[in-house]
Amino acid sequence: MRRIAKPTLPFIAAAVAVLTPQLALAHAEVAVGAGLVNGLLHPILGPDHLIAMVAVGLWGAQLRAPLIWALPIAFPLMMAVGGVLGVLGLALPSVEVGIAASALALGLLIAFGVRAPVWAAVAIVSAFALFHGHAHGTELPHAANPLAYGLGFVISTGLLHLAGILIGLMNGWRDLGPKLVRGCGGVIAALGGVFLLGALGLV
Amino acid sequence: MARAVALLCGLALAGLPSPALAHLVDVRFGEFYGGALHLVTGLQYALLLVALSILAALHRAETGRWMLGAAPLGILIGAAAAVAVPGGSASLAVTVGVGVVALVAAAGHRLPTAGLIAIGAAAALLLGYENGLAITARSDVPLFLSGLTMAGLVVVCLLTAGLHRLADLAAWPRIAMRAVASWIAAVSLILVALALQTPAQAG
Repeated sequence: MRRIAKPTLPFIAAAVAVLTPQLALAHAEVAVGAGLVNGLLHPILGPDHLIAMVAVGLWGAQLRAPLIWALPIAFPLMMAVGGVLGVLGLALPSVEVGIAASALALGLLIAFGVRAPVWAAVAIVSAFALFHGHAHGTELPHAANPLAYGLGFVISTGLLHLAGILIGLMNGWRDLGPKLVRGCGGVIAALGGVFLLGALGLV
Repeated sequence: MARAVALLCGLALAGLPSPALAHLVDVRFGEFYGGALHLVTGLQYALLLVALSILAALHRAETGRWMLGAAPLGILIGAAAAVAVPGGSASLAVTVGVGVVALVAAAGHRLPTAGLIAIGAAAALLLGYENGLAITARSDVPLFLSGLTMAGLVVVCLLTAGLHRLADLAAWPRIAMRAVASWIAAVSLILVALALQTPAQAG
């Protein structure tokens, strides 16, 4: 029997150490945390997305039941349809313009206290949701974990609607409350206008 | 010198930490835990269990409680079918199932008992089948199936009971549950599109 040369022993030991098996888990749930965080942050880090999402909840609160809950339910569903268009690579004209216009339009609707019928309010919000969804959808295939990313941006969207609803609760305060809510709408419209000018390349 | 290096490598190898588990899951009932964990550690599977629980909780107790039987039984039969007739992955079908269950829950319409049982059992069959595909020739099939079924029963039972209790307290939990269901439906819709995406669309 040949003796193994002593200098090769460290290499054998190192090779064994390197090849020591790790835990093999059945689910390859890769980068769930990173996907979720990226998804959560996507609507928040885009100020045009952020103010439009808050505006949806705020307008719903201003219009009261059933729109206080119908708008935040319709928005993510139509956003998903926009997301599907984005994932499938189907172009939507002027997505950035549409997102900025949504903030401007929703802000104006709140500022002027427009009391739209249920079908009209759902239709307006749904149309704008397509643009927001398309923007998220084009990012989705590049996410490390698309399911976690999708969950993240939908949860984030829902929480921003909730923030809008909570701000809209001021509407119940006597005298000052409705004015404050309309004022918030004015601020949103002004910001939306700035974003729209930026999206059109005018500033 | 070489002897010392070899000794050090040997010591390092011996000192490599191995997982210290409180419960000896690798012996006796290991496959039971394997089955249980397989169901609850997959994000997609967890979403379906949540959607089924929300759907059941939105119904009256006399109707909703049928889900506690339909879901675990569906999981058991689906997993047994995967053992008997193993085929390709049903992951896309599970995603579609998540979307359909969540959409029905988001719509908020109360189904007849037979309808609720049918939709719950169909979704659970898909879930069971997809999980049953993880059973290998070396698996203890009865234990794995028991773990899978028990995990499904416990999760659906606890979630449905908790959410149903919450829905009885006030109106807003029902709305919140429907909103969450709409989020789950939205994510599922986008993921179905992602699964159907062609390489050309992926760019």
